[in-house]
Amino acid sequence: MTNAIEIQGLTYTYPHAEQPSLSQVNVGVKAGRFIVIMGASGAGKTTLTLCLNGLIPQLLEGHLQGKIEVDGLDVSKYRTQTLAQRVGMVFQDPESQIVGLTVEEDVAFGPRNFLLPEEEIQRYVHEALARVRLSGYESRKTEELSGGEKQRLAIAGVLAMRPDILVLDEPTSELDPVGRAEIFATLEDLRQEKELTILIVEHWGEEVLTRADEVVVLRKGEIAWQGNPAVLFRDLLLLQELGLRPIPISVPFWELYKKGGIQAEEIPLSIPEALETIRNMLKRGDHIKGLNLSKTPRISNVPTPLSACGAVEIQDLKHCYGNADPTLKGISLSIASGEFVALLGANGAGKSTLTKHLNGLLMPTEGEVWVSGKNTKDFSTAELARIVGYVFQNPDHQIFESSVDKEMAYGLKNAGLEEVEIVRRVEEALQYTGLERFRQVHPLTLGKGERQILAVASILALQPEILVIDEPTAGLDWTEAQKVMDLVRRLHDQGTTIIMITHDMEWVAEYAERVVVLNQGEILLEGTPRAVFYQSKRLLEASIVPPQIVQLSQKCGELGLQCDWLRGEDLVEAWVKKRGVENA
Amino acid sequence: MPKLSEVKPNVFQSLDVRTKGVMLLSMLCLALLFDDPRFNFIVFLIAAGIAFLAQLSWTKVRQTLFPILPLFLLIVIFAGFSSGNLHFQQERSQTVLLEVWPAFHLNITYGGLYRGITYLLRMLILILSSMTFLQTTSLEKLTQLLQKLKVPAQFSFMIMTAIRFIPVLNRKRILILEAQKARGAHIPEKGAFVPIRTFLPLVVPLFAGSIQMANTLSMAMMSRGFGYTRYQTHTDEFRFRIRDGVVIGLEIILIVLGLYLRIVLKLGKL
Repeated sequence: MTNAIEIQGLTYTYPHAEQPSLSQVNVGVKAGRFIVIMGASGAGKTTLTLCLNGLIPQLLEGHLQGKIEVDGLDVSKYRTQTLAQRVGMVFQDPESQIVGLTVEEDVAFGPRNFLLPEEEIQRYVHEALARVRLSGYESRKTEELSGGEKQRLAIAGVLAMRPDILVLDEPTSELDPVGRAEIFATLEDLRQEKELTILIVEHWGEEVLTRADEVVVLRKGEIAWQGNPAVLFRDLLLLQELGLRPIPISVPFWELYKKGGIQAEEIPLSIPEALETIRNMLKRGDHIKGLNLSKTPRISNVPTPLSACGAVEIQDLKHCYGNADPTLKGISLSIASGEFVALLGANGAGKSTLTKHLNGLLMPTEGEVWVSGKNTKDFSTAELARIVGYVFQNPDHQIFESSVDKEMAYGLKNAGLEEVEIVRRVEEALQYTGLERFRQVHPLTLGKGERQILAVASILALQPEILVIDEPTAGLDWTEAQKVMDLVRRLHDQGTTIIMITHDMEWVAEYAERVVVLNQGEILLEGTPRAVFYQSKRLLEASIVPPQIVQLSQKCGELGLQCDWLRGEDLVEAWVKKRGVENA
Repeated sequence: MPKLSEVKPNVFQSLDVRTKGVMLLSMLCLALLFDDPRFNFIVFLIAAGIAFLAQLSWTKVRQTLFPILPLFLLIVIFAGFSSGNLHFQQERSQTVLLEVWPAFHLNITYGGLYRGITYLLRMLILILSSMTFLQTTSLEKLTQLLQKLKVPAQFSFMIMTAIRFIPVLNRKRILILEAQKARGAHIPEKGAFVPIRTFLPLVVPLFAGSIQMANTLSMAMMSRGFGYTRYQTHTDEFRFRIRDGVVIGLEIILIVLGLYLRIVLKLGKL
């Protein structure tokens, strides 16, 4: 079998850069394989993909050494446009790669550039749309598609050119879980066809693990590891060293492995595998302790009564955008001072609409919202900004100053503080977030994780009592995500009320004290994470899948066990070794 | 309410793009033909009637016209000052309506006022007709028309991309505005007389984001073969049907009638 992609001794340095972004990379990919490229931010993953169709160095110049062949063609000898019929490239942001106003127009864009006859174009367009499950969408406006649909359209756009190799650069990083699931279902279909060689850059292992034939891990521009994904994800020390997120379910079993409870090859990477491992443990005579009822508080889907000392009091809140149907249909919610609340729900459930009422970005159509005893109707957003800090999902939507410290000072200047106080607070925030060394650096030259931390820092310089944080870890690598969440936890420990919007249930299980699930503008569930996550059927209504450990816990019923694990450590605590030695 | 993409095309939308193009041109010619606002008002009614038949979104018309109302008012006022024999042939038009500054012969005349109203109606006709054309013509058809007119593919693609990214950038603008307001920024959403510096927190992230988007777009386009040749396959789907013939016939009758009224009967002057 010939190699679809052959990279030999690839070294590449961006213009004006001192260090190469890729260094002596050697990769050979056989035709029809599914390859995953992983690595921390700045490892060189995107740079590597851009070399495959000649965008580097044809569009992004710089110094390139080494040899790259795709489908037997020497990339350096062909234009990117010529290689487009061999290598299809899908980028991270679905919005920036759609050129047509309608779905059909967009998919036809590629074939039209190659002057294919109209009948052929129509055939390719319909075939490509069918392959990404978008048949029937031909005349839909691209602007009206959801994020997942847009990204599938982007894939269809390259498939219509009938490439042999499909390269996807973090295609799901800007999508919600539903969009992500759509993309992976599409990729699964394409993988089953076995006609394409697929190379995908991805941060999270769960989705690609079972599909990948091979994982290539980059670190600082070099190949740090290459091989079978199962081997990689069973070695949590290696993952830590490479800065990759482990599969959540493997974490407690890694602990059991370290304690001698299981063999390395028994570390599970999926729920069925975990169940099998537990079955084997029981067979060996180990014991798994059952329910700990004291840990299981009562579920509540009735609004908590309003209290006088609450950080947030929302009473019968309704909100309509223009003449549309109400987005919020009578929300009543009370959040106590110092609480850590996770706000969950599918896209369009009303999470952002709800939180934007807390700082007056939106005003209630009906009902009332109080923050720290102040009715939001009586105060401007600028005044409320000193009480409610709001960190948006994309830090780049707020960064505009020429240095990190100026960026942090912006909110303080708006608040009308004196210069001395501004300097003091900026200094404090710089130290607290560890951004001192970047003080004079232009914010846009920082990595995504550091920019996210800067966004949080510029809000916490205002010393708000309440912090609303929207998808704090979206698009970040594992190390960056941990840093941001550590910062959020420290703020909470010091008494800040945290309201976090997230799709990542593992973080919710780890950090949140209370969970509020929104569905179609109403509170579907409310309670502690343990109580809410065990309401699987109701969670499905809101398209929420509980953390892996909760899923396993529920599956354990098949083994006659009654478990109520919320975090990995609950499983480790529940394990009692054969000889009756309890592992504390 | 159904979304635009789900609306079944009406008769007007299914007209050949060339028929609609000729209609746009004929409305423009008729608007420029007459100086008398009474004639232009009739042309305006025709343009409004066509827009009604084409099911033009009146909300969009309102949204388009509202911000330029002050400009309309200024045009009527300034045109009102045009006076004297040099400007008008009709005696009534030269009649002074209001003496503003007699020493400098600064008067508002009937003719000036009529001219102001004519300018206003011409703009309304132009806006209505072009909105009718754009809202009932898919971009693909428009591109085809441009190709047919031998406009370079790069130029028509530039128009297509600009239209495609307007709503995207607007969504980005709203997100940025909210993010800055959440930091206590005082950025006015409307108004022209605000220091530019006030808009920096809005403009800088918007520019940075746009450059990033443009960068990805250029990579995505190259990766999809844009520039492989200087041309693209163009779909020659122009279909001239009976209804197009009827509409073109009506357009010719209107133009001929307009020319007859203006040149032979010498009507429509000020």
